[in-house]
Amino acid sequence: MKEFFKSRGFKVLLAVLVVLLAFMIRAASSGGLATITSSFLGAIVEPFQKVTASISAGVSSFFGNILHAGDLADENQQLRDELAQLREQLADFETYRLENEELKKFLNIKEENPDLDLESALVIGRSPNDRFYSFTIDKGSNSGIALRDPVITSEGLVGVVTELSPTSATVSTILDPALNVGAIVVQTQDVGTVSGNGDLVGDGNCGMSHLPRSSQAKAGDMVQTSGLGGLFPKGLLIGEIVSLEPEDQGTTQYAVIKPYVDVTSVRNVMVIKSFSGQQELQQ
Amino acid sequence: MGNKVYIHVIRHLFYVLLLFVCYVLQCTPGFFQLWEGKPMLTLGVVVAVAMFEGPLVGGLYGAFGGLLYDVSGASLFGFSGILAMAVGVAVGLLTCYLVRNTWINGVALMAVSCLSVRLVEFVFQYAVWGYTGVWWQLLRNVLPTVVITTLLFPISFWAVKQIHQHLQVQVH
Repeated sequence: MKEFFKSRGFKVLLAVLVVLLAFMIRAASSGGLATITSSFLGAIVEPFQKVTASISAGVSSFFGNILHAGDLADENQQLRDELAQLREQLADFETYRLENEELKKFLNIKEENPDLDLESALVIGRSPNDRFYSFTIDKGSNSGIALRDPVITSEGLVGVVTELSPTSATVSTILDPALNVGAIVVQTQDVGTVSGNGDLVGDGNCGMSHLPRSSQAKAGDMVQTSGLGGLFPKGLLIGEIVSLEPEDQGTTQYAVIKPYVDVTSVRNVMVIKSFSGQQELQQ
Repeated sequence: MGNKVYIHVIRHLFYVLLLFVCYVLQCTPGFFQLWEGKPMLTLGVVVAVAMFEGPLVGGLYGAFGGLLYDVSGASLFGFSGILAMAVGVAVGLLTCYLVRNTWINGVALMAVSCLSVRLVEFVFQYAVWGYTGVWWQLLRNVLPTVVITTLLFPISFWAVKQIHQHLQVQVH
């Protein structure tokens, strides 16, 4: 074994280690922008990820329909050749139908908020080491997306773009404690900050801190973005209050929030590329 | 001589192709998920290649596989490359000098490697930041990842073994 550590091969591995460390330093200093190597590798695998993500979604809905289609099962026994064609068409139809429904919802968002510049995207990757359910989408800087762009669905806020390459982006969700969102309770107009919490993320919840002690907010109240700070447009739905409790110092309250969006399984999202009142990211 | 080089190149092309396929599969949403854990298929290929090809090749494939893993993962680009390279070198050395090259030993090496990598990632992704209540990640994410990765490892081992056996230069 000692011979290996004196061999040329070990020196090669040391050189590779230095290169990897250089990649890490470069990535750490880029503020979320992908390195050339990362962008190159991402551009190669991204088309295949889109295909497998679409297949995965299609197969799930296809088998769901088959199990509940009793009448179709009776017809299938008599028309086997036609059944094979109908199965393929059904899988394609479900995919397009779901996509069409999502796009209609997003069109409603656009009509209600004409100042939003939206870009639709598909979730193509969820890695084993994703933090707090972060995921990869199939659009990047080539589509006009920038770091810290908010990500939403028709149900509400999902998160923000935290890593960016030309053809893909990584989205950190609202369950991430590193993400802070200026929020307001719709019913009481109390302002606070929504952020992830390690104690709550197992249930898919997040928390809203710095609510005034005198707040009349209660369980069931809706929470949306306040627009303060310029990072998120005002009025994006976040979730509803599950419970309230005093914070440690006793002068403010802490609310457990159930997000409207199930960030653990979301497949289609919209990225807000620009909105009125947006603050430019300082780099 | 030319034929030997050709066989070497083809064999490594198949290894790279296997790595890419495993990477795409492991990142596919909803694919082989156990609670919050997803299989680290690329690490399985790295361990298998290291067992058959030795520490140098294992380390190089570890670096490449780890970089692939970093492209869509939450860690800093290059971090998983260093971890996987260390795994490749360690597994290669163990297989060369201490452990027999069998699938059962491979499963044990895979379990230890996956657990080590995920624990290091847990420390740097969660523990050092002081987030509260993140220990649930060990139960819902780290351990299921180790279990499902180890269960699927024999497939990677078999695939790499087939590539190695059928594309090997015969020494007479």
